Amino acid sequence: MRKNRLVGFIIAIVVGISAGLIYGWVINPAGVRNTSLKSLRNDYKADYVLMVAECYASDGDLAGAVERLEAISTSDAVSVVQQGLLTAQQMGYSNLELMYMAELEKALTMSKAGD
Amino acid sequence: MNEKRGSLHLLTGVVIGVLIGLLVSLVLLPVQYIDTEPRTLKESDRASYREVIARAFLVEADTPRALARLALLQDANPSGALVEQAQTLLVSGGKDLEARALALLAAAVNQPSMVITPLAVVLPSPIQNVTNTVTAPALQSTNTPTETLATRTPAVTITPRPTYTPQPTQGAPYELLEQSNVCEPEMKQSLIQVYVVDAAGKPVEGVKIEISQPNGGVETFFTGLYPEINPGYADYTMTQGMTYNLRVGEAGGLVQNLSIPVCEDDEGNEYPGSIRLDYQQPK
Repeated sequence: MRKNRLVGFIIAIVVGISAGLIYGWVINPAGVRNTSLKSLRNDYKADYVLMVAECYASDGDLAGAVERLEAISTSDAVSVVQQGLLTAQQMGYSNLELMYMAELEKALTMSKAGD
Repeated sequence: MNEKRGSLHLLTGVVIGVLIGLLVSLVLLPVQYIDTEPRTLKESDRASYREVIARAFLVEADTPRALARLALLQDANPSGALVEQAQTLLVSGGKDLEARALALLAAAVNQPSMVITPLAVVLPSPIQNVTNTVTAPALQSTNTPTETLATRTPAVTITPRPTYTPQPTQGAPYELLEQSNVCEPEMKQSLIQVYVVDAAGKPVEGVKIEISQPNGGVETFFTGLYPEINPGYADYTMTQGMTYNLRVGEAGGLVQNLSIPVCEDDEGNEYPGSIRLDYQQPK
């Protein structure tokens, strides 16, 4: 009898957890807030990469650029810039803007090769 | 009695389970969103985003574009947020350039017509190489963005830079004859106006002028780009709150801490003025 009560209690907890998870993940998920740079849409990321590339073009601080790029993706900085370039090309960024990004990509690739 | 106890422990189990489930789904492991917009960023990432916008603003000097980017964050008080972040950076020490950039962007928010002089950039490769450089990663990538692309922020406006003018024959370094403030209310920009003449008092074209900012880049320009004003004339647009160091010629002395002077009109109202520097080659 006591064992049956314990099993019932555990089953009740499992049912309750399931209900809580379904409510929080499906029925009424937390609003879109407190997101991170990593979750930004690709076009926003491309613009971010462009801004980082422009910063790099003015200060030559590759470490700073890497730090900023790693904030928007779990991939390595070179991949982030390459993805940014791809999106930028599709969106018709100007030659100058693409050049800023390409220079950053080149510097990152050379730095990576030197490591 | 036993049946009542039985129901109670089941009910307790369900309540505990629901609480655990809600804690996990809403707090510990909330739904992870992708393809979000900047307005949904958490505060620390909003600060990073603002900082990058401000730094890019210094390079592009494109106020509408910077403001469009800033608007993506939908801050209730964009200017206040920028100023507060700049102050926090200054208090925490370091990142002086970022703090200045944020303050400058805050000023641009309050004065959208503001024009700044872009920082100098260093890009070793010619523009013609861009296509090849860009194509390689594009071909390697297998990820194709599927989202509907957002409206682009306004494209960068390229500020024409002075073209290279051959240097005149080097002689004795130019000496600063006079430095004066220019107070003309009708002038829309605060300029550093440089006039260079040779030993005979004749204007000299193509004299290299270097201007630098503490913690900033160095820009180079030349006399002779405004022959309608004077063949030995060159100017540079100053930004409010910035200080500049200037050198005329290869071996000229450094004039330090140039900043926008404050002028007063007839009614006592203050307005930003310009600076005039007269240089001459010694006889």
